[in-house]
Amino acid sequence: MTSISRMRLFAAAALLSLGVTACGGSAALTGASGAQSSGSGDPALAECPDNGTVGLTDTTIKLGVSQPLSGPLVAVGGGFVVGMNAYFNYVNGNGGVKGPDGKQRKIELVAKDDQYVATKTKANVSALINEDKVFALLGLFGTSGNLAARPLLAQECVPSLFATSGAPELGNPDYPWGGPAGSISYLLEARASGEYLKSVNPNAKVAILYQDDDLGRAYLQGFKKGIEGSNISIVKTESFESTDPDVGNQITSLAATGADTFYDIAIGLQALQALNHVHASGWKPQIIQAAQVGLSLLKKLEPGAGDGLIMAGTSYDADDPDNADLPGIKLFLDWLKKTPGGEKILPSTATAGWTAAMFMTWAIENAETMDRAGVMRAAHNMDFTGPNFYLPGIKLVTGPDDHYLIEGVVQQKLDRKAGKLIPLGEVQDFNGANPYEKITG
Amino acid sequence: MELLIQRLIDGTSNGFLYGAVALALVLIYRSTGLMNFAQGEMAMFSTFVVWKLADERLGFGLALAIAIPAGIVFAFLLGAVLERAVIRPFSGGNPLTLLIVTLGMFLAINALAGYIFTTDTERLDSPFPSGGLSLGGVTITYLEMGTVVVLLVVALLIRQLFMGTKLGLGLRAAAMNPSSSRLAGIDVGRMMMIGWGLASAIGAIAAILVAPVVYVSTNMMAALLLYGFAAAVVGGFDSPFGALVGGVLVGLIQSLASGYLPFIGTQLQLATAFAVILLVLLIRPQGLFGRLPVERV
Repeated sequence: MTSISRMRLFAAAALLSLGVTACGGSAALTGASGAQSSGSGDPALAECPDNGTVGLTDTTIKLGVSQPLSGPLVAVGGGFVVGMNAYFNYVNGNGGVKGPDGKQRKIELVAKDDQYVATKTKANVSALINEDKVFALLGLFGTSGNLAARPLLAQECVPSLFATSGAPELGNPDYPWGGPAGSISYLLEARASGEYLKSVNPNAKVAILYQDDDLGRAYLQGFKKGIEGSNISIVKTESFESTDPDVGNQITSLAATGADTFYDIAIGLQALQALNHVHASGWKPQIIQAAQVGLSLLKKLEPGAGDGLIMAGTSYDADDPDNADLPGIKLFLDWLKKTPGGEKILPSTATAGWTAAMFMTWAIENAETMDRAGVMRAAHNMDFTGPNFYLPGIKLVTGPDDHYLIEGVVQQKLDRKAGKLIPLGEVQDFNGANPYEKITG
Repeated sequence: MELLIQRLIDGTSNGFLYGAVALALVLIYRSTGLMNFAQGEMAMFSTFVVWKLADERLGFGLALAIAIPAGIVFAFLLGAVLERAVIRPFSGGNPLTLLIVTLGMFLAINALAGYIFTTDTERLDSPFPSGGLSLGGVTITYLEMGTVVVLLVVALLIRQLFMGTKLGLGLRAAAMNPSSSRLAGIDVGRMMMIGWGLASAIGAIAAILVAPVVYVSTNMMAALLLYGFAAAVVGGFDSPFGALVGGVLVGLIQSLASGYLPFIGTQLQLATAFAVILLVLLIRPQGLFGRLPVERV
């Protein structure tokens, strides 16, 4: 082989292998449409197979979850499952969950790894339903994974509750088995940010950075809805891909507008990069940050960056020692310590799993019939008032026509010196005023 | 105008980082005729070593002035050991086999870093002061300035090493004609180890410089490596000087294309690197500064 052709071979192999990784972000959303749906909010009306009590014995109930337990998001998925185990340990320690038939059952959790790949999520859901024979799924990770699994859930009439995703699509009434989600809808959070901006700066000029996918577009649509009827103008939007190594070029373009407000619709690391670049550029807008970065991550910003940014919040910070004595958090921290893997992780990484398990237990306890349709109906008629992490004033309510559970936020301001998010006012409550809408962007 | 200058600055400083990765790739290609897919991961691992030494909360809290040199020395040793233990047993065989071996190293080092250190995203302080100089509407950060200066110095040192020292002569001879070198009394194996060590150290320098921007995580180098490949192809796989020039060109193309070509926008930024690789391979496969090998028949 000559060295030129060898060079070509190498280069071709390089393109091929790196191309594969570069495509990782665009998980398929196909398969979500064209599924059968009941066309009604009441799951009991669907043409369901006769399988409503699969996964139940007189003493046990089997539940399933799919989360990234290896790969780049292992910290997220791992913490989530530990949190779930902690809550179920707590329930099982008290004898188990008591269903409407009066029987107390211990909860068995089957956790599968999807590496945040939608096709694997779908395969896991299929295996959990058909091989492990779980009663229900909870805390399914990621928007694309949830949408990929949705047709299966509709076909088999298996509840998949409190998913780890804020996709507004999970409140779609045509797919009653796939909701409600365990996070606030992206669209609603952005709408709340828009309405807040309207109230404090009705003539704002906004520059927006957004992730070019369903999440980013849901945020954009919600923000536009929030600022409707004001003088606020969006002077420039720049997008990025979740696989981009850096977002510096976009910030250069946005900073050149000199806008007085910057809306950072980015997740995790890329959100930090954007905030660091804004800080370094000398541009000093009021920053609104999409609530896709935790406080623990915001503390990793460069000194001075992100100070004073505004971010919508729904819950207390479980890492903050000042909150450790709140009833919901105390119980959580006690059981987290007793759960294998619990002492190694940051408590905040386990709160979502704990919460999903808590809501699931509530739905089983409050079902009218001890079968899948009964639990599903309970999840669509929730009014949760037990100890939890959510900020006071946020209602945890669903209804037959309202498949969104968390529908309130408190705007918070980041104080870098104190390392805290300081609440700026009362809860913006949207309960019942947040109908399903399609993302059209 | 200010925006254009800002984009040129962004592109140049990014470009030097791509160039540094390309330089590491080129050094290995020159010394072993091999494309090292694990280059980025070796650099990532070394950066984690620096982070572990320097981090106050989860590491040993050493000063960066100690942690960074230690990390670079570690990188040199890592490269040398990998060459001796993993690459050498397969050398002389089919280049495809070696390609797969480096791919395997890529996966192994990535998994190992997550296992030993963390799968979280961690912050490494910049070795330079934060902030930068603002002139009119244009800002150049101290990190950007420092990156360019450090990498220029590294490139000059490498040049001096190869062209001005006996060790450099040995390195070049071993790469060009191993069997004749052996006859002339050069320890070819040792030269290979040094070549790999140097490349690994340069990769680590690039990773440490980019870490304040992209943070330290197990996949911090994935995209940088792609741009590094593009830079190496543009500059020519056997030209260290070309690697740096190629890097700057790729950085500028990326920054200007995404800023001024609306159809590329920011969504196709990565694709510009692919496009550059393809174009150069079609038009000038040896790259701008590479030499076309002459084969005697």
